[in-house]
Amino acid sequence: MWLIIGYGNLLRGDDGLGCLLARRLASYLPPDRAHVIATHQLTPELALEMAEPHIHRVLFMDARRNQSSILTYDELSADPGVGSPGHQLQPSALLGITATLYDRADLRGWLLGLRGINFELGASPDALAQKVLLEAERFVDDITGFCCQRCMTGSPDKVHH
Amino acid sequence: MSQTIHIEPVTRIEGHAKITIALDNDGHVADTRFQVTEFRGFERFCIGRNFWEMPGITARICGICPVSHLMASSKAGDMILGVRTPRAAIALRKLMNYAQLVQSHALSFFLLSGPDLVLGMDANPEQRNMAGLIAKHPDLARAGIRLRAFGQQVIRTLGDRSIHPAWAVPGGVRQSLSTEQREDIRKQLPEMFETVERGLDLIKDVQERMGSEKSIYGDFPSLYMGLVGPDGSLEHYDGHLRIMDADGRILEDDVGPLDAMSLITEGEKPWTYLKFPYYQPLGPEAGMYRVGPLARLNICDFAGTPRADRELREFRHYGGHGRPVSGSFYYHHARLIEIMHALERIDELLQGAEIARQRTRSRADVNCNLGIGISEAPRGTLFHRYEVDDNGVLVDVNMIIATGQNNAAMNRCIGQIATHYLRDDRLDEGLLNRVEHGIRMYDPCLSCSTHEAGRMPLQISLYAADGRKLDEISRG
Repeated sequence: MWLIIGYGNLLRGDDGLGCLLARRLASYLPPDRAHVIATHQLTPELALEMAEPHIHRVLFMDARRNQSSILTYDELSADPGVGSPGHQLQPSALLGITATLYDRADLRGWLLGLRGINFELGASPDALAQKVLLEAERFVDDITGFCCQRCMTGSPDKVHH
Repeated sequence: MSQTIHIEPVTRIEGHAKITIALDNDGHVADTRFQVTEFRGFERFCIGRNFWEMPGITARICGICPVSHLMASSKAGDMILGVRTPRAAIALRKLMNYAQLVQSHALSFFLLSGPDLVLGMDANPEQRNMAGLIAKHPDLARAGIRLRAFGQQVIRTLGDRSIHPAWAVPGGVRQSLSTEQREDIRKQLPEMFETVERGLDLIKDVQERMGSEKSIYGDFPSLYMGLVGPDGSLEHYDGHLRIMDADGRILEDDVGPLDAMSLITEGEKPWTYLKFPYYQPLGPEAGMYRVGPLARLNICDFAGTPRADRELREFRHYGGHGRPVSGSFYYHHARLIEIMHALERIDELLQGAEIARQRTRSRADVNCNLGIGISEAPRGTLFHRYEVDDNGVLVDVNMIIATGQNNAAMNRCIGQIATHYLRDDRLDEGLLNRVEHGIRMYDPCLSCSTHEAGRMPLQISLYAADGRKLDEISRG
């Protein structure tokens, strides 16, 4: 089962895309397919969620600056020492902490990078950001193997899988 | 306009610090400066908003201890409404505040300062970090994560989310706890108590081993300030303000919110955006005070809960002869005692009758044009002062944040460390490590983004008496 963690600051324009995407996904993804968390930042206690025995794959979703493509999708290596451990962590660090502390070396993780342009305080996601969200939503539907009810009813926003 | 605004739980600090060490003609340390170069102007852009929005807005100051701002802001709002806040709401607010204390202190001790304390100050920075701690003491790391998760879960249970919960409001709180939720929290307490006991054993052992750190890392006389309960007990949500001097004499007591801020002057220096609050009657030098766990344990007469009181009696031996404990290194130990106390209080609150009362909010409109809310954040005393017009629109906002109040102490602490460890006119990794820890002891907002042992984005410059830059070392 997937654990999907979208994170970012909703007050800083596109920085909140990961969080917004998680909220969207949480509204329709069935709980037996994915557990979705929308959060402000990655914190150590998320390792407890990742260590749950029914979780086998983790998808982190975060806005990225200077990203040419709308989406990037990269498998993560587990490294508890990467980045700046503290109040906020890197996805690879969380994966490493979970593997080391909770004997979950089998856990695989990916980072879905969402192209962000405007990170200004107080900005709202614009039309371009909405396009990113839509593409990302489709992508997550694909990788989780989910075909949502809206596909069945012919929603133009969805690709029928 | 006030320049003391926070990025995270405390003032407007983010990411990078710059430390300047100036030598005299003899090559001795003459001056050290801990410089914060970020500015957010938070108070200014609150003006014009309605006070009802302030708990939600000010919680956004910080992703680390938003609950502290929530408490101070809603208390300021209570005063503006002029209502009696329902007892259930006060109990629930206290519960969230204690949970905040638990999660914040747990992170600080077990995961952020833990690598320094367990692996040693001189350990290679590549290993002296959370990964190194996990590799060497996985049980300790797991326990620390569980303790922090517990605090976060309590906050989330009350406020729907652990970061930026929009739950406390002027006049009360938005929602209560069910019987099942209360029981779910209570049944986790034994494990949490066990973790704190382990932490206390660890810190006592560390203090035995780190004799020089205890005496060098910020051991100096100062004033201490914080809230105490009506009976002089350890207090984090309400009570009154007390100020104690370095000899343990009480300079101010029974100070209510209307008078508290008049005792403090926010000094400024041209080289940093972080202000230097001091106790006004004694001036900037003699009036330097410390806040936070160490100060709170110094100023209270007793903790008021059995386990914390037992630990507090032992802790006070470090002061000697009835004097306050003056070494900043003891902030770590004080944090653990506070976690113990918070867990005991959480247990009391959950079993009490008040928390189960149905009425959780009093409703009114503006009945007073001034609101002051004071609460104890994990890092120290937090003040929110709002002036509103008759429609509740803010015309003036001032917030005094814990990290700012420890600014002078942090500067002095760095000076002590530099004086002791600086060799010749060269900066090395060892000094950087120790300066890092000197800052980390106070767990300032700065640490939110720069806590990593060995990688705190830090720049230290060393200047000769004639102004020549002798050396510079930076990291991050």
